[in-house]
Amino acid sequence: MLPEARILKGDLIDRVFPFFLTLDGSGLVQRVGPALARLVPGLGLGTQAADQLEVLRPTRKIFQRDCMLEMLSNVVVLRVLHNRLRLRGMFLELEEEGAFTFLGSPWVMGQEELQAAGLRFDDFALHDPMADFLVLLQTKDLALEDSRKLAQSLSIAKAEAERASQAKSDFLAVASHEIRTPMNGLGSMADLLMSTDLDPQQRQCTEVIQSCSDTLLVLINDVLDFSKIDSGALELERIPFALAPLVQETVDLFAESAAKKSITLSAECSQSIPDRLEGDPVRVRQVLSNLIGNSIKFTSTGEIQLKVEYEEQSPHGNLRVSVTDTGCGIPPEALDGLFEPFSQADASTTRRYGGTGLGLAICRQLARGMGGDVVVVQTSSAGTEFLFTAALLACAPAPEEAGTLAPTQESPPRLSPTLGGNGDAGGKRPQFPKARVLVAEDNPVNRLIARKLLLEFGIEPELAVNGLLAVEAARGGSFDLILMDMQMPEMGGADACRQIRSLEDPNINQPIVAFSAAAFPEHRKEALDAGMDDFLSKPVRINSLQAILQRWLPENQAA
Amino acid sequence: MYGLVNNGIRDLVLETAGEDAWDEIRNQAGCPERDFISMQNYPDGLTYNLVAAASEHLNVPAQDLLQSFGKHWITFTGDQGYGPLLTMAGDDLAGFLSNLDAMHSRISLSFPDLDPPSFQAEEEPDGSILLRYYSNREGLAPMVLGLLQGVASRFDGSIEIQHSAKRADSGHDEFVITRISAAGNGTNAA
Repeated sequence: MLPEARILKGDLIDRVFPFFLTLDGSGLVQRVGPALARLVPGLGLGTQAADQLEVLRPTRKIFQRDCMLEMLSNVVVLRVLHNRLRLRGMFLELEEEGAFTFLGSPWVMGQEELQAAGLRFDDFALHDPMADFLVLLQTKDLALEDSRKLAQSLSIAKAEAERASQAKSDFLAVASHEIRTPMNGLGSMADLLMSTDLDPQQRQCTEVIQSCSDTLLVLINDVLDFSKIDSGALELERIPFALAPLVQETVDLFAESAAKKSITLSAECSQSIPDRLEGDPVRVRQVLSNLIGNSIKFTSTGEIQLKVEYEEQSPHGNLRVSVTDTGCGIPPEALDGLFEPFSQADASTTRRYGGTGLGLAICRQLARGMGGDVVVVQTSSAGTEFLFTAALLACAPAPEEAGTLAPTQESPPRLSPTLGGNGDAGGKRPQFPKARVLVAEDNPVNRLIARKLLLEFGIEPELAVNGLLAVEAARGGSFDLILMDMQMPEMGGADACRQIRSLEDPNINQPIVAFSAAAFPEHRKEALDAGMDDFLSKPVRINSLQAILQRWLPENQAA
Repeated sequence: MYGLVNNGIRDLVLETAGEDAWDEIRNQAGCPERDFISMQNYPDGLTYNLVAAASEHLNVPAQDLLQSFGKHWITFTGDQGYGPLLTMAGDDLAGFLSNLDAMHSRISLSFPDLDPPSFQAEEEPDGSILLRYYSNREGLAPMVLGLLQGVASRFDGSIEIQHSAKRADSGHDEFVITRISAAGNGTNAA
């Protein structure tokens, strides 16, 4: 006799296996555990078990002696017919009595089953972990419900934050546009004034206007950039550009202000720099400009030296630009907060040197976005060395066709500047008297400015007040350059450009330069995607217009 | 205590006094969270602070608030998806109270840091139930009164409760629960 068979006597089995069931060889009920009897009242003594239960596992088995003998070595799953409750356990043979006993517990997989079954804690033997499992089953669902609610509230919060961020970006874009339009008038008119005969006092006043206009532009750009970075919306471009000319042009831009302070400004580019790198030239230039500008600002005498190196296999950014000056240095206590937004060495710095205190914060974020960083290598009263690193990959040499390089302003100019990199004010501008230029611009002030600025280069432009008229004018394909405002009534610049491209002879390809107060990279991308060749952001300054003319007008148009 | 308890307090406050009151109460209790994760264990002090702040804000004595919370707890947990669990605890008051320890023991697998109270229920010859309540936490006997009322409501019955022994005197609390007709006049909390 099996030991199990011996214990299946008396009340003990009721307590230990409250779901037990004993059947004779023909499936008639002999005994029923108290819990099973409560749940399945139809299992009376002498009734046929098959009227209340079915065998789910093993399959194709019934409550008959032969089947029950076969089931002795199997896990057995029974199902109550009226409430679908499943019981999992095993059969034992009671040889002396010629009977079989099923020992098992409810096997419930879901809340619905549990509720339908009507189980109670006191149905289970105290040692039976199945009741614990049933509680776990419920708490698991509740934990999932908690997670779902949490995820939902996070999702709502995220959507709200994104909406707020979008509203901020939209506001910035609009504010940027609205501020740039009057600044366009202010700066450009000051430039034009400078080219007229002014007495010393008038010249000084105009220079102040120019300087204020420039400063305001830097401030606006800083605030806009920082807002973009802060909201995670800044996207860096990955386009081919030539680094060495970019460095030289940037240094040239500061040559005059360095010269005014008798500071020697020089750049040394290593031979290891590839001809072309892939990255965001506008942002590289921005970081360099900021570092050089800072150095000039904080250096009263001596020199500023740029050293540009490129290491193919560097783990920390293969482009390394050090900017070393002989300035006043940074106090140790100011170093920690140097790259924090709105932080300058001390409050008096702002008063003395101006600026938003955003420049270095922006530079660091831009550099980090490029896989590098901006750090202070050393600083003392004898000077400071900043290091700008970026991970920029070398890319294939430029194709022969200059037009394919058009998406960046960093393409080498087609026409060598007739003057220094920036040109000078006051009638020394290169002249393009034969050039046919179309200006499409709806704003009368901007049209006037564009015309007056172009006149400085000997160009009398044709004017169109919206995109439709620009398309009409360009139909013949006879312009050497089209300056196209992006936002115009009737038809915007992007649509007008697409129409011109669809109409013109593919061999002609009139250069079309977007001319817009919208300053974010996505606006530049929109213009280039529409088929434009370049981007000139407003407020247009005479030097940047000169660069565009020199880049796009054929050499034979120059006087 | 687990977040489920704090969520229960929040639910009671929201139901009786609204969202603004809850925000003020949780701020007063030094609680930055608006919601709690049911299965996360929070410091007991937070729960006590919430009760104290709610008591002050709602101008209800803490004992009365705890009693209300106890009563609310039964419907709250039922609504929160613990209905089947409560059902498993029994289908009458005596059975339910007898099963409380077993239920708490089973729940411990899901709430491993649970420090549950213990209840011993005995049916007396006169039909009343003597309930002994043991807890490692102090001051929650009023909540038990509310819980008993909530459980009785669950079974559509009215009861009278006598708080016959107190922890301060005997180390544990005892309650004598007398069932009265469903049409009876509510409870008599001691």
